[in-house]
Amino acid sequence: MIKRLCGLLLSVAARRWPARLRDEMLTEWRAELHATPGTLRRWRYAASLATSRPHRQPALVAAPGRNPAHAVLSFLLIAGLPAAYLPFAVSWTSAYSVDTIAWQTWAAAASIVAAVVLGLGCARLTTGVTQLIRPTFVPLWTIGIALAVLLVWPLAEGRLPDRATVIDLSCWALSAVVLCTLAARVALSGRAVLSWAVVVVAGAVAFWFANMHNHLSHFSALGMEYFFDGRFLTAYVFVVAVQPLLHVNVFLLVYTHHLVRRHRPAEKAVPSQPATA
Amino acid sequence: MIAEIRLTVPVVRVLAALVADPAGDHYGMTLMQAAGLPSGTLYPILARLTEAGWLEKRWEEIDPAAAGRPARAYYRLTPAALPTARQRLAELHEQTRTAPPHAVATEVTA
Repeated sequence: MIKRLCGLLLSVAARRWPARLRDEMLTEWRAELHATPGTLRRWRYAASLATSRPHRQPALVAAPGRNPAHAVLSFLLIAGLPAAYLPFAVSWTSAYSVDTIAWQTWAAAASIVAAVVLGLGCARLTTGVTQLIRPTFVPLWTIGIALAVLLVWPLAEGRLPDRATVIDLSCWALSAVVLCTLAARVALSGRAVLSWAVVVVAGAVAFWFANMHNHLSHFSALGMEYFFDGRFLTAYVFVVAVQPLLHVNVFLLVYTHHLVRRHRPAEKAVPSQPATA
Repeated sequence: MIAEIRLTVPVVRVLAALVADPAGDHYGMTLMQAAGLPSGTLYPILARLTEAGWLEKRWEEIDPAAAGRPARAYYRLTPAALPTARQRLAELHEQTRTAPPHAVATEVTA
């Protein structure tokens, strides 16, 4: 029974390794397991392999064709996901009623969490981008593409972006790039928690810049008394939370920063030395 | 040519175990015991070192039917990697001998 279970754990562990090494490693582990004395030691041997971080290094090493593909995928994600999300979000954030306010609140909260998860997931998918773009330039890459898409978006609808929108979005992008670059430098110096704190500040500052000329900058709870008893702060928090640009902002900043944090320098060849022994 | 590797604490332990007996045949189990690492940590390191040209991996030449067990794989530092490994470990030893404890920890885990 234990032998079969150990064999199963080794098979599970082998599936997480690169395909070219899988059979070889499984053969080696089985041989070692066979030579290992004691049920407990065998169990620990197999369990450790099955539960530990698999061999992933090749995914981070520069490979011909792989990094341009990551860059293209990154571009599509940055340009596509926010652009796809904005029209979808407008349909559930443009009108409130007593029947919808409760689920809209939950949808807003869930959407922010989803933006964080999506940002982390997309960064894992496109890690190789930092082999082409220096980590400190990643904010310029991500926010720059997003800014271009947001400015071009009205043209696709047959109208020009208004002056206030151009100013707000430009200030949003500038502040996000500057603060995310700062966060990247902090992260590269090894201070992970502080770097995420800078990202949180970047999110708040950039979002404030993005709304300098719209109703959030001179918000009144007038009309919201049906929903929140006229309480200004609650109504304001709700209106902020259902802003589509907030969710796009969260996605982009989390994506950018996690991409920087996942950067590993490509391994470079070093000349070997003559053997002395 | 061998590739540059990051010297983390587990990698240093594995290299130290290999350098201690450069001509010996090191099986996974003996390396686990010598380096004090679990299998889940050891094998990814061995794979990385092998891919980077630091280790050569060979299979035991036995008849599994006659021996009553499957052939095991064993590892050895390549001739090109041995002096580099010795030099790195010596440098690390020098740093750990002279630097304050917090600086050493940062260097080794970076």
